[in-house]
Amino acid sequence: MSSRSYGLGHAAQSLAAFGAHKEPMAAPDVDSIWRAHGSFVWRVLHHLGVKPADVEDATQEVFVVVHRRLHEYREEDKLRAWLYAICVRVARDHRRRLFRRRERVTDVPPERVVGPVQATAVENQEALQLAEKLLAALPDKQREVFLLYEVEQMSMSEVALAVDCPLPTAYARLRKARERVLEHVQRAERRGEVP
Amino acid sequence: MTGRAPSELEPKRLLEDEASPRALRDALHALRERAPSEASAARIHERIQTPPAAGHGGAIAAASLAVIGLVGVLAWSAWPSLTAPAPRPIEDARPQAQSGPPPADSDGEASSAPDRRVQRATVETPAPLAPVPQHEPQARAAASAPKEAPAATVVAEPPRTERRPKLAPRPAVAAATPAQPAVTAERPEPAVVPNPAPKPAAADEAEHVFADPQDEAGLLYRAKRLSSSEPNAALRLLVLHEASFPTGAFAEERDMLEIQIHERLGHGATVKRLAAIFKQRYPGSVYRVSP
Repeated sequence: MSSRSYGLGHAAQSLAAFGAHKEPMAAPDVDSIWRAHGSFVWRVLHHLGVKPADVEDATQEVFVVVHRRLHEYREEDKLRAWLYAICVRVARDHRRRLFRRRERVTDVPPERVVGPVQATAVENQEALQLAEKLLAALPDKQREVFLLYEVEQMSMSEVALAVDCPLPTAYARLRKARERVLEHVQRAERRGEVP
Repeated sequence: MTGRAPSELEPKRLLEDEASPRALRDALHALRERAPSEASAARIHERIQTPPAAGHGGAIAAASLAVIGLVGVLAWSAWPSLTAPAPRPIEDARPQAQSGPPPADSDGEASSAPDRRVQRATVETPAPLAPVPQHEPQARAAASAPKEAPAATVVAEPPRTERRPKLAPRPAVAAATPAQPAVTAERPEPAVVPNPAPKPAAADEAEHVFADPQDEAGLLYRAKRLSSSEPNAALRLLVLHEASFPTGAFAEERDMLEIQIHERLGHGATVKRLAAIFKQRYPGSVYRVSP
């Protein structure tokens, strides 16, 4: 059964190895993690539904957890999967807290003041709006696999580890997510909604 | 499916696939390029460099102390009334704790006593949890005026500390108020007379509640107004402003105000760094006094 070495067995093996005892390695410090993966954490929190005004706070909370749990982390190559798992918990806490807040939270981003020289920023904004629509059309589980693979460029085994599912399941989610996204884009093109 | 590595079987990413629609690639590229602004990244970096030792544990310890103190005082107050029919059991039970003028009636005394115990237990915890204004208490301590405003400050702060136990404080606040507990602890027993002066914590709360994140000028106006009395609240409003209007019409004013507030708080390193970013970002700014 060597042909299935990267299938369910591989995922289970990876999950078991994640955080398990290994050769003691020099643990990265928080500062270096921030420099290497700060943007990743910030982006992931955005994608996980943390409101823009709260992303800084949420990022800080992620790194507070990193501070506390760094001694438990052992595998250098699985760092982003580990960070992603922390982000998921912090984002969930933030979403729960929204119910207790009295501030008005809107789904629509506020109107930005855009100068005439910022044409590229406008294009970027349009692309982001399309991206948000595409992501909104995906179920949660498909969306997270899609984002980690297509945007964050993680390997599929890393994705499976991050979202805590078997590798074939991760592949299946990616395939379905791609089908939906492509279908959505083609429909938008037919309607003339995208350039 | 033979012995190939998993990575070889991974599908080509849509972002790199020429066959995928252009609009889709642009959208994915825009997502990929999302990153915090320089100022935002600098702020986060500064905040995460402070070890989180006094985070949750401190809050839980403070809350536990407060609850234990409250239960203890209530039990202590109730005990004499169960055992003996003394008319003023509370004053008899705590002769040394009450040095101020006697209250108007026993009901008022009974309700205010546990409250004060709770407040003192909370205020005396290490500083970082509660964003307390710095300038006012220090000025009061220097003047060593024992009787007026402290009562209002002590009464105003504790409820916020208990209601908003953040995972970790903003280091700017924590670093700027190291001597706060000592100053508070040295104050004499506050008089029971309530002080009608506006409470800083309540003002901070109100500014946040009524701050409309879509009102660019309003946010900046509030931040400016709070910058001297509540610098930390003002900084929070500026963060909100930057999140909502990163390239807004008042971005330059916002960045300038942020530098001024940090300068007022004595954050020399932050001021230098933000000033360098400011110079790069606004080379022709009217706020620059030197090239």
